[in-house]
Amino acid sequence: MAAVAAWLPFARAAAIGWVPIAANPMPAPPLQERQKGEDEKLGINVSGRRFETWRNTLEKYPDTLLGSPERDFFYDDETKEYFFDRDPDIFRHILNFYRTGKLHYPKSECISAYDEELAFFGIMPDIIGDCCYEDYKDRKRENAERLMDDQVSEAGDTVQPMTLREKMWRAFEDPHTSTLALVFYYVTGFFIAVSVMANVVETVPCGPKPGKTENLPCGERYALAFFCLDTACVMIFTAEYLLRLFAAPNRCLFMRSVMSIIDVVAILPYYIGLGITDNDDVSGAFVTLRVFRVFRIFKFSRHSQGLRILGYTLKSCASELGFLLFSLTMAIIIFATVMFYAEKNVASTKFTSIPAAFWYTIVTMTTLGYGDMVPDTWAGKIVGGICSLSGVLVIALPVPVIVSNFSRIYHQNQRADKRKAQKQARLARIRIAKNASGAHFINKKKKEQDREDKIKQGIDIEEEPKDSRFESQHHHLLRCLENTTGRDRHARYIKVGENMFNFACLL
Amino acid sequence: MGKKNSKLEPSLVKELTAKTYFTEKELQQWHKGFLKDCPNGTLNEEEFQKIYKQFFPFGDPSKFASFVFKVFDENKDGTIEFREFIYALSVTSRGSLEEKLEWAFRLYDLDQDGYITRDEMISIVTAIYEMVGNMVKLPEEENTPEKRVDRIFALMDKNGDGRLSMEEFQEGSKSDPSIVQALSLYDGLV
Repeated sequence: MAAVAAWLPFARAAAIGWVPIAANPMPAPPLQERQKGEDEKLGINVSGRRFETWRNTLEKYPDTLLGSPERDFFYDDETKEYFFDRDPDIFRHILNFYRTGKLHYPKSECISAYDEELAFFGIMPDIIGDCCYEDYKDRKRENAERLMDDQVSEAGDTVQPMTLREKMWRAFEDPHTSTLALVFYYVTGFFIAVSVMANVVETVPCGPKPGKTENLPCGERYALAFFCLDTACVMIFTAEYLLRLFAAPNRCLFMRSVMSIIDVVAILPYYIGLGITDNDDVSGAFVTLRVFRVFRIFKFSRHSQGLRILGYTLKSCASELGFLLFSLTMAIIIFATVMFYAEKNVASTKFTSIPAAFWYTIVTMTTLGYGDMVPDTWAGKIVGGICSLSGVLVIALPVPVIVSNFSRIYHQNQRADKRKAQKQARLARIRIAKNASGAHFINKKKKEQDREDKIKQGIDIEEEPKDSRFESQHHHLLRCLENTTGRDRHARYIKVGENMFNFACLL
Repeated sequence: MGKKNSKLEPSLVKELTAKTYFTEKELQQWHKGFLKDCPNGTLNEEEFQKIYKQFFPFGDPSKFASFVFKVFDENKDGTIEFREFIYALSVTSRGSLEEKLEWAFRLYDLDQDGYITRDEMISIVTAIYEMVGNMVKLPEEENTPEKRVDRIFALMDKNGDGRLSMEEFQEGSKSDPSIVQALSLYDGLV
């Protein structure tokens, strides 16, 4: 209950009930402090900074702390002023509210600190003036979103996995949970690298087969070796995919996720290749399939957080990328059309059609400038110049948005990781301290008890160094509790000691 | 801003200004304060007990608080709405002597049958003594609720039927100057 003082008349209603049966006459009520007419200046000392105001100013809003008798709780009789141990900078705004009736939100203050002060002084944030209300709401929403992100990332850390399936899933998702998971993580990473390297090296010319003159790529020269290597990698990948599929809590959802699609695309070409025989008709398709093997490199995104962030950034910047693409397409079409008609009449011109001119426009707008197609007429050259200048502008526009998105997401991830690490460290510290302190507490209790017994028996004891006041009072309290309930001492003390310690840690 | 019922409805305001001794401004102020502590607009017995416990921490005010709750709760629905709260407050702080005595009579008459029996009065006095706890030392001959109740009945029960009617109660209280003076104690303070 906030304003206990506000309920005083309510409790006085009880007094009516006592009167007829009172044994003695009632005492006179406390005199009113002053007449309603007079006014006086009140001194308010907030952490050393003195403020002064009229009493009537404060009492304009009697449902706040300063306007109600609650402030008397903070009255210091010696210095005849009200002392608050709060932030003086924010208090200035609160006092201005009483003076002017409008509450302003200073942009330089932290939103949570401001909210805390408002809550302490009993002022509802709803009355912030229109001039500052928008800003206040925006900051509040931002803060709430950030807190929610942090909470979401911190949740679900301590649940103990039950079944083998859940344990496997957890091992797959977070390789740091056990050494087996870590081994699995590194092994798969190694094989991904090996597979990609093999795909690359396959195409390098290795020198002719002995007895022949033709320079063959390594893939054909050591065909068997590469085939075995490929088979081994695909075995590993297939096993990994099946294990993940087994461990997934929601298999349909897992099968639809991006990573699992990449996994499937990485291993499917091999199996399809096994099925297809060395037939000329389909060898074209077979070659295409081999291209898909390069998708194995995307499997690395499970291993690299930076890659995941990049992918996530691109996804979240989809609208900016779409805008970029659209505006580029528009510009390409415009400039290609103009170039085509400008260069149409030149003999043996490369600009044979508008789609042919697209290539020139793209190369020019991205400032590549290969030089395989160049305009000859002066009109074409002018258009080409304008095209390259505008290309720079159009491409440069969406880039900062993408960069800032990436930066924001990257920092968010870093913050989440840092907080997780800090939490682990803190829990470890608490665990160590708890074990130490629980034993310490019981020892203290035993010592106290021994002292008491000795005193009872009249044995002289040497003065032990005085414990802190808190400890002696704490012991006394616990002994009262013990006497009241008469339950088993030790078991309860362990629990109480732990609870006290937990409470102290929260402070 | 944005709060649904932070202002009283005009019909309720009219009713309350007519029936109580408060002005509209005071009613609005009380309503705001009431809503701050009871955001859903009603006060249930548990919260009522909590308030009393804060004011009387040395004893056990729960029994007395429940009796007072019964008197506040006129329609007996188990909660105190703002209207009931203001009625009771108006009577106890600004009512006339008769109104206050009538309110006290309703407090003592636990079964609302129009008569205060000895047992009802003993319950009330016991509850009050419990509230006080160890603070007040009473003179020896009066330190049991029964003795106290006997004394009161001796004073007030004119027809000797062992129970007090409203008239006997009012007459008996008015004839005691200390009671009259005490009942006007808090006039003008709320």
